[in-house]
Amino acid sequence: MRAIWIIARREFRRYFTSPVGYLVLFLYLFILGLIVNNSLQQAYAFSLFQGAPPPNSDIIIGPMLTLLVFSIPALTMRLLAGEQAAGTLELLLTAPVRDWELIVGKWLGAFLFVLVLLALTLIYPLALHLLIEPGLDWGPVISGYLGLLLVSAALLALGVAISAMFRNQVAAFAVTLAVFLFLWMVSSLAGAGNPSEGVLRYLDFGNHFYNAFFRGVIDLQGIVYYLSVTAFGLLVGTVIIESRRWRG
Amino acid sequence: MNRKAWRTWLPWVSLGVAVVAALVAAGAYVVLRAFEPPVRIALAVALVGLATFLYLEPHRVRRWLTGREARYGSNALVMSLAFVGILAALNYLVTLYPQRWDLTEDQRNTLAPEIQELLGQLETPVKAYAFYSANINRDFARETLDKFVQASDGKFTYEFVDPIVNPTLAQEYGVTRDGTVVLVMGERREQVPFLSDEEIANALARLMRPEERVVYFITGHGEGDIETLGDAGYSMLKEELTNRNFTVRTWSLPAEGRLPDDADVVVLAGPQQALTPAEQKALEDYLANGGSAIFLFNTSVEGAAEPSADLAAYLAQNWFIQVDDDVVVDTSSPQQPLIAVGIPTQRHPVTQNLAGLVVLFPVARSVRPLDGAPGTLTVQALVQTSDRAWGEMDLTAFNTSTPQGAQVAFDPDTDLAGPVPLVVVAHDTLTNARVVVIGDADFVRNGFYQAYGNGLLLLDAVDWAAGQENLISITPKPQTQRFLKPMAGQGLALLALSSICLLPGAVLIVGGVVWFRRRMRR
Repeated sequence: MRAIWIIARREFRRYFTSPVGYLVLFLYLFILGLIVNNSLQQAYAFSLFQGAPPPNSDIIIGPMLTLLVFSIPALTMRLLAGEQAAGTLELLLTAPVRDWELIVGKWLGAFLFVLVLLALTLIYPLALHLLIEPGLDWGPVISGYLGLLLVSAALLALGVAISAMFRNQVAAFAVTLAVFLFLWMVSSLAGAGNPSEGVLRYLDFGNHFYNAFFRGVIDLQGIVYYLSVTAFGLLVGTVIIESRRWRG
Repeated sequence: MNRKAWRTWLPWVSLGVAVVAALVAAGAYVVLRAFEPPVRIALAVALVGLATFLYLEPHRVRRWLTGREARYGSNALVMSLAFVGILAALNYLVTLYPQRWDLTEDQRNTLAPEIQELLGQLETPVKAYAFYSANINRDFARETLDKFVQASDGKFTYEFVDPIVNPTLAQEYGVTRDGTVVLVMGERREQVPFLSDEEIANALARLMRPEERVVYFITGHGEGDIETLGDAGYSMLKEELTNRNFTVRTWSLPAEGRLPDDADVVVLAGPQQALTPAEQKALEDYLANGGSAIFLFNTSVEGAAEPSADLAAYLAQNWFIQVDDDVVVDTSSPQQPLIAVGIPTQRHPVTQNLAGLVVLFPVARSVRPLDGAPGTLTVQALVQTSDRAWGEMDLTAFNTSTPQGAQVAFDPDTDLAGPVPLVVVAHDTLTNARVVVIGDADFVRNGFYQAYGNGLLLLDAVDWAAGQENLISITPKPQTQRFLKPMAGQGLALLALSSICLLPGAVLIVGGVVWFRRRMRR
């Protein structure tokens, strides 16, 4: 357990000493700021007409999932692929650290970074709260952020697993993004009446978010789904690292 | 030499063929959904390829199966499979016992308790077909229908159908409007033209308590015909009423001399001849016994004989509804001043689905509620023109046969100033009799039926008159009203600046400082 924490802390710090961490933070906040500002200006333009509903937290939480899908591959690509490229993975593997501790530590480090990222974005709901009378409905904000945390955990775990497969960081980034996009679109593969439709819709990670957490609902199904994907990603990552010991 | 060469490549080629054939077999099975010849052939090729490989490379296979890699690999595989199996089982369990908590302030994602109770009584499964083409957004429909699915314990399911891709199904279910939802329970179906929790719940209630609902169109005085298909007929109205599970019949009042006993609603649509005193007496008796009627009166310049002085007096005295002998001139449509543009003014079951739609009345007369109605009688005007219209009392200009046409102007002394009411409903709470009077009979003829809210107004009027508008009454949820605090141009600019520049800029500066300090240290 101590090993996990040491690795996580090291990874977390590395995001703040490398340009990638700041770049992701900057782009994420900048694009989100643009979108939120655009929606607000539109809302003000429309508020001249009577009966136009005021903006709610949707304008902030809606785009955040999309931005996460594109940011997380950049955060996870280095985690293990970088170690392999630099040749430091062998060093780590000879240290008194179990394989799963290594994977969980790497994942936790990235998760802590995403936690900081999400915490910084809380300024937008707070600002919106001040602009709306009698204030924002906080229910969807709470469920939305909980959903984003769960999605991040799941996507980071998949990203760590994919990073373990590669030496090349760019390849890890591309494959991670491809897998995310596939998981995002998977439900559109299912035509109506297709018996696999239910399963495919269930596998779609966007569905669980947009049909529940985004709308202000905490759904046990979504929680279990995202935690399962997290556990699955960490398992695959562990097996891949472990296999280095016995692969020829 | 040659022999050796093929010994090296053939095993791998056959293994490759086996893998490709297996993939083809899987793909074909997904497409065909049956174990048909293409699947079988591909599977056979895969087996032959695999067998060839096994035969030619037995050593390699043995090493794979018994070597160090195999031992560790199979350990990892078994462990992973077990782990994935546990995850799958967990996920399956939560689909069986779903749990949701609605955090929104107004419980936006939760159905009203009355609707939940209704869904609890549901015994036969109901499937909703949502006919939505790619042109309209499905989010609201999905959100609404999802609530019913989640509260129904598996009894309520839904499916989106694109009416452009699948026109046969749309036709079979009588769907004429994009965005219609049809609920199907066994053989019975019920259309929901405008989606809301209440509308779906009411349609469900009608499906669950099937009873025949009959609308009679009175004939015998030159009324519009419900079977005629041309522009002047009422066949579209009949079709949509049938889609709403009404039985539509005609009733010859002169021949029968009385009104039908099983009528939920009778419609008198634009009579050209006056009712005889005996017929009017029959109508009065029917209404006095709690019957419901819808009157569509054309103007006298179109040759309408009703309402006669007797019928007009009856409506004024008993129902406090005044039907004027005038023509509504509406200058809000300058090219066609005789088409009155009706705007819903009151929130009422008859107009609640119009949602911003106007109703066009070609050549209409005004219909007004009168003051002094007793407490047991509610009389309301539901649709009226804008204040740019008036009721022209001087009809000589319309009766002239000169080709120049009518020259009319508003005369404040004699004419009825706008806004001119066109649709009035009255409800006698003692007998539950309901009366709808509309100052035009042409707005629901086939030629005008699909214009704006025309058809919908009469459909909902029939629903209301039949007492079907609210089978289940739902206490409206309190909705928190929110609005943006007003802000001037400078404030907006400041908002833009701070939301786009402040936070990202701070991140950029901190990042730059860290980078610079690290460089300096090196």
